[in-house]
Amino acid sequence: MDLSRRALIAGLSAACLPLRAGATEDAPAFVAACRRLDGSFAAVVLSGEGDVLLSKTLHGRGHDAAIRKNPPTAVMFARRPGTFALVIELDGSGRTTAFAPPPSRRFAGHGFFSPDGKTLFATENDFEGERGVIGLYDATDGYRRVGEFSTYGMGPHEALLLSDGRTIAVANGGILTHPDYPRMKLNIPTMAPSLALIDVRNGALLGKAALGDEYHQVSIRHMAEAGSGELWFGGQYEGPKTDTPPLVGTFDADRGLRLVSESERLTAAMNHYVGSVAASLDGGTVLVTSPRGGLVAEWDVAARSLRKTVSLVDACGAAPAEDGFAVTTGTGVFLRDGAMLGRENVAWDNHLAGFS
Amino acid sequence: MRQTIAAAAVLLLVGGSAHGQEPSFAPVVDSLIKTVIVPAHTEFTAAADAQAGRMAELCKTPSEATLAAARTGFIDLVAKFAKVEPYRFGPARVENRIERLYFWPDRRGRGLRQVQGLLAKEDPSATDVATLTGKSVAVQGLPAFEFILFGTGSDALAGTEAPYRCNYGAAVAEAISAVAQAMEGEWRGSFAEVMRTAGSDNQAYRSDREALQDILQGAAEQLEFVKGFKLEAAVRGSPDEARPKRAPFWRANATLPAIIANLEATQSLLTEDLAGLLGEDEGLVNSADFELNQAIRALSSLTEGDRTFADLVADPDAHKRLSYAQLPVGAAHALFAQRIPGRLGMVAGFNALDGD
Repeated sequence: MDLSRRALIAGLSAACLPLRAGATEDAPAFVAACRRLDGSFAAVVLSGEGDVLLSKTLHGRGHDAAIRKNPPTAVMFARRPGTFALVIELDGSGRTTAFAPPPSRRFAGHGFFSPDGKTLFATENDFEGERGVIGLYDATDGYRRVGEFSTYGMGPHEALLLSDGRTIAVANGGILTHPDYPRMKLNIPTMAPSLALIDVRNGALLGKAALGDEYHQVSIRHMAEAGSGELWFGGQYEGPKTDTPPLVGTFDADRGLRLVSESERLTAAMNHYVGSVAASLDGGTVLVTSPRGGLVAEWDVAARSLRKTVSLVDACGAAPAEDGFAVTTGTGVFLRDGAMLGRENVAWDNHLAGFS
Repeated sequence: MRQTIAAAAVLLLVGGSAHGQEPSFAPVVDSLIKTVIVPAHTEFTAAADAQAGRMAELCKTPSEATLAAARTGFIDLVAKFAKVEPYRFGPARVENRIERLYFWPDRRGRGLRQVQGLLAKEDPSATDVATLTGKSVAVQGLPAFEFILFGTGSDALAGTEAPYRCNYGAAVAEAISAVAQAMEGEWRGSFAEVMRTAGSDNQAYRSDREALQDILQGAAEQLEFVKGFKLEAAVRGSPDEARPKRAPFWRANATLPAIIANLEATQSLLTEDLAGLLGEDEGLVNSADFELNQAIRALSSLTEGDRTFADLVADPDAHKRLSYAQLPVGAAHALFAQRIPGRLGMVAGFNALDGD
């Protein structure tokens, strides 16, 4: 962010923005995709204060990034149906390399690294097979594709590795798409979203859960692991707008999949759409964003109760930060712990990936 | 002191109200429902009723004449459906009505195979509307009906040896009629009320701006659909590359009438009331009207004579016109999707666009 803009914002609000002291100020803290003012797309590395450290042009719209701490690397995936991923080395060189999924696969926009950093996992659409897969790429060998796991469902979107280090959780959105009809939803009447747990070592299915028939049009798309290993997910409703199904739910092995009943109060305000889900570092709070509703909501994990909601235009990207959350918006705003730290002349895209 | 999210939100709103006094969208929503949307549904219901009558007549006294009447009636029904097709939200989303009417695209011919299966097995449950509607959405709508009346073996409907096919067709006609009636009823009643009572207490629309936005977005999506999926995917780059069977309703040779009716449907939304809302930018409405006229004229010039869609894409001159027609459709799309809503302060956020 340029200084004059920061000064302008500070002046408008008659408030000063204290700079965070410390040696970490210029360390990469977050990665996000964006659209620039000139219409081009980029993958951007941000400091903890939301300052742009690095901006790399993408040849199409990006979505979310997989982060590796050591050696520090970000892999930005193209938005679905994605045909590229950009590897950005964060060792100071800023070196980038791109790779693509096989011709019969399209990236779904999300992925993660194995704990040892050697393997990258990416959610993908096997569009002829009409099934979801997780592609495995060898990060030590030019991101050569070395295999794939089934996601045991259709239209996989976000996937993450749980804190046990061996379980992949994947949100199968349930929606059939094909590159011949980009982004068109081809199976709304029969869509069957699910959450699948997969063994990271061999791709075996460890468990799978679905919402009942009543809610089969709630596409489960994003999630985060909260305290006590519980997954919190956010959905996007494909049914009639006059319905108000709950859009936030939880999953754990013992109690299975449960909707957070209080969340249906927010469904209309969220305009039937959750964009991102993030859990605080202590696991006690979950934040969901709704760009269509212009809303950010925080839940108390232990009590399963809504803590607060805040109106924020086009809010979507969310990631945990040391004492709360960082949130980005399509209007270029970067917020941290509820404070607006910056506004860039870009539209921040759906997700914010954090190093913490 | 740090800024709060609320301060940030206020800041973001500054750009949104730059056009001065807030126009009232409610009267325009109301007039579009009354003068455009409801009449289109009334005509669709009437066409469906009439077609159910023709099918009853065909089954009672099969002949070349009654078959010809049913086939002509089908083409009229398709054109009337194409006039309500842009309204894919609201009543069309309830009970998957839009897919019940029009399960398309069907890339793999799944629906077709199911229809052929019913015809081969003569499953009696498909000849009763009560049990037919419990089956797959693909066997109870217009694409199924098209195959029954125009597909392989359909000429037998003119004689007495195809009673099953005829009765199945009659049940499909009744099913379509029931859906048409239900949609019309809701556009006259409950859903119109939802749109008219937009506001903070409304589960579907928090403002009348949002209600109008849904109508304009429906038109924009329809134009995208026409350009990309109905024309471009079938016409492609040259006569050699063309894939006419990817176009909708090619068996009935109703491809162009259906597409033209789609364009006319979006054109019918360009009312004086809408222009009035745009103030000094009312010319945008004229521009959209002009572009749609260009497209309609180019396509209409190809409907004279009885050439099939396959004949047309194979003919270099006609292929050129089919390619050309996509340009003004694209221009009209840009007006409906961006410029008109932009002027009305309803630009969807970067992250609020089609889901991810």
